[in-house]
Amino acid sequence: MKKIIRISFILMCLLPCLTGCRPKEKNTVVVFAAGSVITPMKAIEQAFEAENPDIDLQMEYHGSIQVIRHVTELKEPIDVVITADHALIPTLMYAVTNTETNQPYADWYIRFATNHLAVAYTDASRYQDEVNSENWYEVLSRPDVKVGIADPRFDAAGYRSFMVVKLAEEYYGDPDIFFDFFAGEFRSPVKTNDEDGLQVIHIPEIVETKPNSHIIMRGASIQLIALLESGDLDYAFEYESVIAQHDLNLVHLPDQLNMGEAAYQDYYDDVEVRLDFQRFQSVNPVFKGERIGYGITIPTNSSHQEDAERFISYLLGEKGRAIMLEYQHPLFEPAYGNNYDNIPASLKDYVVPEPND
Amino acid sequence: MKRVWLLSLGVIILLLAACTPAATPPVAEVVETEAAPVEEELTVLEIIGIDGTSEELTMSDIQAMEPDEGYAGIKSSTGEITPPATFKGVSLIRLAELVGPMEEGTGVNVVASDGYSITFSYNQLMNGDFIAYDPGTGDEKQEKPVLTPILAYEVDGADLDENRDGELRVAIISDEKNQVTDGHWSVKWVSKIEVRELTADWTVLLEGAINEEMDRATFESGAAPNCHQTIWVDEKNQEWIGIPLWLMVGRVDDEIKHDGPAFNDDLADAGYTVEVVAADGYSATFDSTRVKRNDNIIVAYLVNENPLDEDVFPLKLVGSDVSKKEAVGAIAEIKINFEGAVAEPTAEPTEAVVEEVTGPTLEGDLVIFGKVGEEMAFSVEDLKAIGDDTYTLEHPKKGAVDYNGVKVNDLLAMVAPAADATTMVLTASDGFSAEVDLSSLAGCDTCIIAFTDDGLMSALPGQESSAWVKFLSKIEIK
Repeated sequence: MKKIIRISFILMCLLPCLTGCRPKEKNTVVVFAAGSVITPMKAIEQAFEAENPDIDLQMEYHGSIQVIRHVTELKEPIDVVITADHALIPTLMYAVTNTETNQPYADWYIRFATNHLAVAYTDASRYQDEVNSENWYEVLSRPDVKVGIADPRFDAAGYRSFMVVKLAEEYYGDPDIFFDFFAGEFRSPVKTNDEDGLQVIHIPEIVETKPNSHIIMRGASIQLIALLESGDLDYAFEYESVIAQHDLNLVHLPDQLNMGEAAYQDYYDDVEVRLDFQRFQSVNPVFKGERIGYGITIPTNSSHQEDAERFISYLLGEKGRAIMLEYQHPLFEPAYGNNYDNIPASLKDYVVPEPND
Repeated sequence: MKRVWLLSLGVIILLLAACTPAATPPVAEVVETEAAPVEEELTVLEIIGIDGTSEELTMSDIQAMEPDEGYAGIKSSTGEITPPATFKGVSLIRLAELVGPMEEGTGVNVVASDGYSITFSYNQLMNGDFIAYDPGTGDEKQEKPVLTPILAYEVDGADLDENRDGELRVAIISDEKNQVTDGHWSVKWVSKIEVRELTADWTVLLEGAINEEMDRATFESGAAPNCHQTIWVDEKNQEWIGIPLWLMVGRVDDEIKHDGPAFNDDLADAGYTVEVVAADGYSATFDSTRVKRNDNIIVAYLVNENPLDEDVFPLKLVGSDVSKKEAVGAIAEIKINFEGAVAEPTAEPTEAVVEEVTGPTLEGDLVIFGKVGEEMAFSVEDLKAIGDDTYTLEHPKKGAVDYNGVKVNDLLAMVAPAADATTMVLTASDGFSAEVDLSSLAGCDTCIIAFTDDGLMSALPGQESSAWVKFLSKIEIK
């Protein structure tokens, strides 16, 4: 009998442990990011979680427009948003009110990284031995050359690629470059017009290439990489960081065209891309030509604000920056804060107010 | 000892049971004494047609339609795969057709309840033209399965998760569990579909001092009665509607496209050539002095108020100043060649200077040229003198039809094709052309050039209908 009592006593002592001694659950921070930062972000995720064992980062990557759509339209609980075009945040998040909180989906962002657009190719690409920074537009216009471009309806790299081709006309002094590139390639044409010096590119509702077109479209620029590697494409418009991360060859575009140099902002803003149809209920995005800027924010409905701030602090801090640079993704030094007053105090050390804020 | 363990286990179970929330007490069955008012079922989908016709459907309405069922999965833009699951719903095309027939050039805009929308093209709806990926590797599938976009209301035998998908969502299904498609097509929370006329199902390239890819909408607005509409009635009393060629040229002859003096008379007087090119490369070239303000050379898009036939669609050159050979159909391009100026400016339009890009050197109702021992031109009378017999031939679409004509092989014997010739190219006066393997004609005693009310026509039993070329004017042996 003593034995029974002893065992029961031990079991009763152990019982609380059976229910309460589980390891402490981690806080999950959901990060939705542009596909072009996937490689450095994977490394940052690993490093951050190693230093912050109480946080589990759940990363998901999409084209930038899709990233925001998951917050504002699919209403998914997302704690950090990173887009390849910072301007999408005010356009699609500041301007849209969350009906549950009666607040906009975001009221600040940090412009923290940039990039350069370039033309990626492989050793097997047609005319790879003759393409260079001065003749790329002529080589890529040839009907037997397969050129990949991201769909401008879904991906910032897509509409920026159209901008590059239009800007090339002015830079090379050849007004037919855009026409030679795209005329006759789409079922509904991508048209341009001159509005008092502003070159406006109109994207039709259906962006479908004709059979046997030499232009190949995919939903996101990152999808073009596999096609380049398999030989289905000869060239593709990609960000330089992505090209370097995948060990592809690249044609550097002149600074006036690569959308990544502050000195040429006046050049970039000569072009604009408009969607010729209603894509979102409340806004009809216009994509202005400007220096590439990646934006990061915490949606106002995030339920893990503090943990999200810890992640952004890490990314903008010394260690995060080192990883980004290791993967050849250029950063702003310092980063710029839009709606600076609304930026969480813990992040203000890493930013200065936007010059025109 | 066994009893000890059993006792201990019992203690634990009791303690654990005590820690779980009490079971919900059974709810007393409510017996309704009065019949509850029947609630009207809510509309879950609105369908709007091109003409504004609309249909409102409840879930019961949709579920009463013949269902489409298959496998669909998603690949995110960065490669993440959601494996295929079984979706059940109704195809977008059948839903769209509730408000009118779908035609080429239309599409369906699928709108979510929050206003997000994406448009599916006719090609995607009818032919399933989506990129499909292998669910295992994520690689693009070279051989596409048959894909159908549906509006799904069920996944794996259960209703959709309303929080995640809403009541209705798009799924791109196939019969086999072997594909996933891009996630951006899978619109969730669908509440409305709108059938739309998508602006451009054809374009024509205008090349000159500036270039323009003119789409259908732009052309049609230019051809409106209050704009540049020009009408010509041919000898068969057919009414052709379009825009004079000189106005099309005026859009790209200098920097002024439309406003002000769009057509530059000085340039035309200085001389250039205008080449009108069909989709198959056939072309006719005109001197600028002939084109200048000439309303009798018309780029037509309607005949008797209907779009043009498939073989000359979308545009054809017509008019009282257009010869049979110049009547280029299926126009794809209009090019100004400033370096090809040939004529001195004259006060009056000069006689036509027509330059064929390729073609025979002889003229006649039918010319056979190319890889032949002797190029020959025939009038209809010449041909009838060679042979004019009646044949009952099986047309691939029309069935048995009687034709009078001359045997193709008799004509070939006269021109003596070269030993290495393999192909016969049949070209109509409107520019349409078709190719036929010479070997497929060997021994064909009923393959003829038929005499019809519209002129000559190749009548080739056993060949596709496209090889039965009306208005036949040239045969090139290649």
